[in-house]
Amino acid sequence: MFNLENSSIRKNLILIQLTTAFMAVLICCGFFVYNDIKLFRDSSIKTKYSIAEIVGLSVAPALGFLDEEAATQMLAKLKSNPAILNAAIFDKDGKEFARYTRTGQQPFTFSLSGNSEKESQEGYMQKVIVSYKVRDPDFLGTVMLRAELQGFKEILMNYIQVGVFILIISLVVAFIISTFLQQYITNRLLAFVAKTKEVGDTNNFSIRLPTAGKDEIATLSVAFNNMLAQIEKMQSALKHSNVELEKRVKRRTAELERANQELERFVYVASHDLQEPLRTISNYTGLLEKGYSAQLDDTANKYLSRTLRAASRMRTLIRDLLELSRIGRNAQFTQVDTTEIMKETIAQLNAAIEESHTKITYTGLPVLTGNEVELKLLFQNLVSNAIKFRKAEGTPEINVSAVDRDTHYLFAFADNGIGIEEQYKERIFIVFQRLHGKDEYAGTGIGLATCQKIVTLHKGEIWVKSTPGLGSTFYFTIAKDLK
Amino acid sequence: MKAKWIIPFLLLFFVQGTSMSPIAESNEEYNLKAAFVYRFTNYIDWETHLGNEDFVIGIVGASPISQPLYAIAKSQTVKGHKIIIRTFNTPADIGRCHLLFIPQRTGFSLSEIMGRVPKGMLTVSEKPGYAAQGTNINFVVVDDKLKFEINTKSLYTSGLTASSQILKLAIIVN
Repeated sequence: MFNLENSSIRKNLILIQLTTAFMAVLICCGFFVYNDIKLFRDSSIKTKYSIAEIVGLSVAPALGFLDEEAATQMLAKLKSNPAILNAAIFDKDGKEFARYTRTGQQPFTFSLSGNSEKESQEGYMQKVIVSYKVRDPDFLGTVMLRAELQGFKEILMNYIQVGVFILIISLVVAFIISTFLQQYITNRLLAFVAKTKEVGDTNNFSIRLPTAGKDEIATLSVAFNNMLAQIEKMQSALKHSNVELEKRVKRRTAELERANQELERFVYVASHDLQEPLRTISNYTGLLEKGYSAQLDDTANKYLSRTLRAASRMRTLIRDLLELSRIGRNAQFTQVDTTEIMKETIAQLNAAIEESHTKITYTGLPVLTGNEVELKLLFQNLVSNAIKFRKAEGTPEINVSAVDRDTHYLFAFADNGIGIEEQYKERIFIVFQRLHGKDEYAGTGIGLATCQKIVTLHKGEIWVKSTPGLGSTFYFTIAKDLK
Repeated sequence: MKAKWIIPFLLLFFVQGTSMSPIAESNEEYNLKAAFVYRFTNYIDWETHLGNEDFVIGIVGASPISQPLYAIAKSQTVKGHKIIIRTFNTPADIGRCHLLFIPQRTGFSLSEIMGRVPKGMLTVSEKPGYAAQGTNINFVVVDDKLKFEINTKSLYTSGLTASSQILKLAIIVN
């Protein structure tokens, strides 16, 4: 079948018009040919019937007086008509009375019952059988003729020739007319398509289509123009807001960066500058305790030791703060074996591990690209956290593992400690957020914030899953591509 | 001789050959003759119009043809006229009729009969040579088939006209 959707409208319109014209002419021709052939046949049959009638009238006396010879002689006169192939006369009882067969023709057996009174078919277009009942006035017998429809083939051929000629002429005319008429539609349509294509290719929404006329194409053009105008308006608005947005983002980013830098510098400077007076305080307090504790009473000694402890805690606090602010500054990435880091961590925290009888296991820790110093700090913080928040009874256990996840490594530090309440899971990574009192668990509240900063430096994330009373697992990822 | 010509008619009227008794032969022969006689009326023109009269067929003496003729008269008409059959025992009895059938044996000479036949009366006989002697139509048997002679001259003098169609089938005698 045709696939009209894949060829152009111009071709389709012509094709449709040609097909319509072809069908119309074909149907007309067919009808006229059928009608004329039927007329030809009917008139031909009428002629043959008249011959049968004449034969019947002239043969009536012979039939009446049973003169077969005379009847046969009369039938023999039919040889002057070459269309008559066979003839027969039957008497009133249906017995054959006389017959005639044209020279060169096969004898034909007529059937009285099978043939209707007037005609019978034997090859609709070639031969015909007619019969005539002889009455004088009583029924005497039947005359039957079998005749050729002469000239039928010639007429048919003639019709076919004329039909083909008319078809060709009408197709040519239809083609010419449709070629001219379809231009009216297709030219405008093609112009429309060309314009829309131009819009699509150039993204130039300021293009407008001509909208002359009142037909569907004009309506479509108006609708398309409206659409273009709307798109244009929206596009410019979008562009404008985009520019605004970018500017704002840039401004905000710059502000944030400046604020962040100021903050970090402030923290660094503050902690650094705080160290100096603190060192003086702890040094002199230390000297005071060493040299004058004997001269001081108990209350004074108690105050002194408390001052020393606070100074020491403040030193730790300042050190941690310095560390936090230092992370990411001039960080260098190298090949790091995390198994080695784990080993060093265990060595570093040996005292705490021994004291708490913590069992540490680790498997599958990879060699990766990262900052060795920071990663060490991360491991230390996580392990010491796990030891710190162990349960009062039982053996603390820590299991460290890692999985390769294509773009990153996923580490897990699982412990069987006290666990974390659901509501605190986010807060624990914020600096100075402590869930427990200073006396219960020692610490500055900076450790996990430092961890998060280190993981962020390695383009990763850190989170925790925990069941209070059963233990926590800290997960973090380290990206493989750190650029 | 009769048997010879009647065989094809037996075959023609009966699908299979039946009894060949003389009565049957005779019956068939006269059935046919009666039918022919009736049919002659179709092809002969009586000059004088029949008006409202009945069509009268006369028979001289007794003949086997009367039976089938009566049968025909019951069911048929001649050009719309009722058919009446009359028998004339002697030539002197011959009265008004349109067609006179003269049987083979009448006991009278032909001239005696013909002397009583007026103009306009069609005479039909069944004895070889009678047509030549003046009857209008005479049945003969040729090649075992029933044929008839027409004496056109006597027909003319009788003031009757035969159609060309019947003349074609007849043996013309002058």
